[in-house]
Amino acid sequence: MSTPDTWGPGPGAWAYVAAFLAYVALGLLTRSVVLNWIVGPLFPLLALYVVPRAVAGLVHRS
Amino acid sequence: MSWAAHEFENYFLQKHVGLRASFLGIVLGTFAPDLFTKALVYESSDPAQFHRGWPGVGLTHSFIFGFAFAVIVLAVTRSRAWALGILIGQWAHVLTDIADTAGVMPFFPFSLEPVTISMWKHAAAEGRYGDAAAYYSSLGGAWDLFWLVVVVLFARRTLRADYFRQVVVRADPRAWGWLHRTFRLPEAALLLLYRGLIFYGLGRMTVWFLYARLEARTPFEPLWAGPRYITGNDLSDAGPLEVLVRTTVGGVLFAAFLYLCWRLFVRRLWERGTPTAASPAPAVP
Repeated sequence: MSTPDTWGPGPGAWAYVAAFLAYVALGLLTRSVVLNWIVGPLFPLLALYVVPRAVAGLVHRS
Repeated sequence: MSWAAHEFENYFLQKHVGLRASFLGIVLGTFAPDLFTKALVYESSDPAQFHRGWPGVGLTHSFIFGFAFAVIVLAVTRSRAWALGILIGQWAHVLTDIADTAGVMPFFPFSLEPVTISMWKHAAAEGRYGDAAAYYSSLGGAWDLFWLVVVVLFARRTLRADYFRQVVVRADPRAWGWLHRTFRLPEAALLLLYRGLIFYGLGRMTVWFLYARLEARTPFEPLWAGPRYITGNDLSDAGPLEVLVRTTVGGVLFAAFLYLCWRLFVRRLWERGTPTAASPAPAVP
């Protein structure tokens, strides 16, 4: 019997927790900037994939 | 109106439809009633009437709106999975919104009677922030929490990577494949996108609850038909029996309308549509 793949490739549970805390903090500070139907659902993708990838690209280039 | 409940119910619905419907279709369906109207609701002079009533945009919170939307999508895309997803998602939104005082007209235009169980006040008249503070000071917040618990208890496996791979993507390979190719998103990124809605639901529930307690400092009144500091905004003075009779008549007429549409043209659209991943493979001669 194979073990179920819970998290899959990419960030693990702690990364989600960190992104969640950042989202709550940003939500309390900026409200409508992150608490809308576009940024809200995209936030994990932005915070855990797009931004780290962009930063890594910049670091690699410099 | 319900807030984060609309994000959580997507995963619960997904667990039940499995390969038969597109998850992205369900999401579009649950967003649809508020998608084009929510911003205008806060600008209206009578937000409850505008949002849920007639005249107003209350028809977006009726079953016929989801049906029409799904039929159009089926006719244009031929995707049964998307049509079914939109229909289920929109109907779930309508049923969820029965809980606030403004209610919904599920069988519009066959019955214009709002149906409500008045668990909490529709508070859009307070503006967006005031609405959020009122909602998370009432049983509305408990309603969101209920849906979160339902997902955790009964549909948590929908959040797993193997479920995403074997069910969600298989049910709608074209859309997920398009996202993968167009935006060069690997599976890890698609998973983040898929889990984004529960993340958003939990996040906004937490932020608005904290906002209500720490900044707006609205009284926490999780009582039936609360919070008390918001004035009543029922759209109808009809008694329960009157509502029951009108809604029953509306429901019967709506069912007849659906049957007629099915016989006249929807069956043909369905039959020429792309079978869902759950459909049995055609028999080999």
